[in-house]
Amino acid sequence: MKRMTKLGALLFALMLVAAACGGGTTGAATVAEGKLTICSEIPYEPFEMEDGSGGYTGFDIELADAIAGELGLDLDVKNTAWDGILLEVASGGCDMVASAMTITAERAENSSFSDPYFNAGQSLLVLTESGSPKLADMGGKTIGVQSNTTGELYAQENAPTDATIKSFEAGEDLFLALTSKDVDAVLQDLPVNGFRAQNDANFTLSDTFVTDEEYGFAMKKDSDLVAEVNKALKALRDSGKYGDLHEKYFGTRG
Amino acid sequence: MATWASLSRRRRTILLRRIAYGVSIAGIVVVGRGINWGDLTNSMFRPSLMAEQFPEIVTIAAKNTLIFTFFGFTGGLVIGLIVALMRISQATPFRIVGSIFVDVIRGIPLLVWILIIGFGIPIATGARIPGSYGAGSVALAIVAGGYMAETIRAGIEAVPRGQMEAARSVGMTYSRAMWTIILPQAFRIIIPPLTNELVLLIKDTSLVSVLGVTIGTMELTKFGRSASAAAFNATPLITAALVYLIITLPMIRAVAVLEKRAAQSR
Repeated sequence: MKRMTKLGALLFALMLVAAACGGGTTGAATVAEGKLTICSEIPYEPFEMEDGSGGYTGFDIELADAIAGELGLDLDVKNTAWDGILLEVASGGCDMVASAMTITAERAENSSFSDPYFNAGQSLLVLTESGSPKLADMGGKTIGVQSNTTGELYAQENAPTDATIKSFEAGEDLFLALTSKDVDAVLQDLPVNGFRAQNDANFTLSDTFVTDEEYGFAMKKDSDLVAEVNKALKALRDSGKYGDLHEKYFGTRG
Repeated sequence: MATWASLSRRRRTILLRRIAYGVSIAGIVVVGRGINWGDLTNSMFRPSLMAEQFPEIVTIAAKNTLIFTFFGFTGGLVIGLIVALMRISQATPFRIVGSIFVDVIRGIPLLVWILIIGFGIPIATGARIPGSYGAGSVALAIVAGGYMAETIRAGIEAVPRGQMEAARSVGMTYSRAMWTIILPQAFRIIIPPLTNELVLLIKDTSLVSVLGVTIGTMELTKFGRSASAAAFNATPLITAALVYLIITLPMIRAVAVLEKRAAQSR
């Protein structure tokens, strides 16, 4: 009888360990079993957008999907407001932010970033009808930026002092504000402005700024997942899958 | 032990109440033990971070919330009064236009109205509402007007019919009777519901930030949200919530007092 109890206790302990580890082949536990849940502010073309059939796609989404594949997980995308997107990760709403997020020292204080996966600069987008003004020409004009972005920071530091900087909560509203002439220019990440100018003749990319910004996937501070994601990123680069994806969206292999 | 059926109704009530108290206390204890109070205080009520929000949360954020509320309320009052008078008008076209306005305004979310007025109309017509408070205030005023129209109409209809008849019988015109006899009484009746509309409007100003903000035009919600995202901590948001309460609680209490008084005088 005593042996039975011991055996039972052992089995119970094993079950606990198994439960704590969770399923899947990844060592790090994710917020939803068997899934890599990412937070992304959609749309932010070409990094995240709707695929036209009820799902999401874009460079970030496809890359995250490939990473999930490497980890033996399914990808789950949660469309999240930009303001507080890092808090969503911290509070266990998702495993990582895949949302064209620049790695900054300030953000890294409370989150852990993966290795960089994309290089971006800042840029100025205007309506084609307003010519091709540089940032220095924006005195007395209104520049639209997104709240809590490196673009907002760049505008605050580099725009003429008599320019008005207007911050919007959602990236998608920036283009609406520009189209409705609520703002005279939009200052944000180059690939996003560039994509818009390339695909819509109403918009012109009028100025670009080299800022040495690198995008990273943000995860919970000191999460075990960081190492796993870095390993997967490296594997994707080595196998050429990363290059394929980069070529698909940006025309070069990155 | 006595069975349930053998207890008197009074005993049963007492017993049930004790059970309810017991369950409530047990629930509070369970939840309370599950919370890490240190973490909670640190991430929602950190005193140093609260102090950091001042004075801007008052001099900029609360000020702008009140500015939007002021424009929205006064504009809404004017629009609401006009629409209410249209809705009780003898002229059928006025009545029809009035009811369509009220239905369409109330049937569409405020956020959608804000986006239509801030982005949609300028894109379609090229006409922009000037000023950094312009589009947001106009959207608030129009939507508040739709709700207030119904409140004002109810107030006018609550004034006894005899008042109008008596005024007309001493030779007053319809409009003079409306302005000097009916409306003053109607507004006395609707002060509590109008104050409620005001409280709702104060909270609704949190939506106008979708149209973009400059550092000078942030209202309380946007201010708290931005500061929370920057500080990686919910304390600024909680601070903003407390400032909302400081503004709205006196009004909510005032409505309760006014309603009680109105009920007594009836």
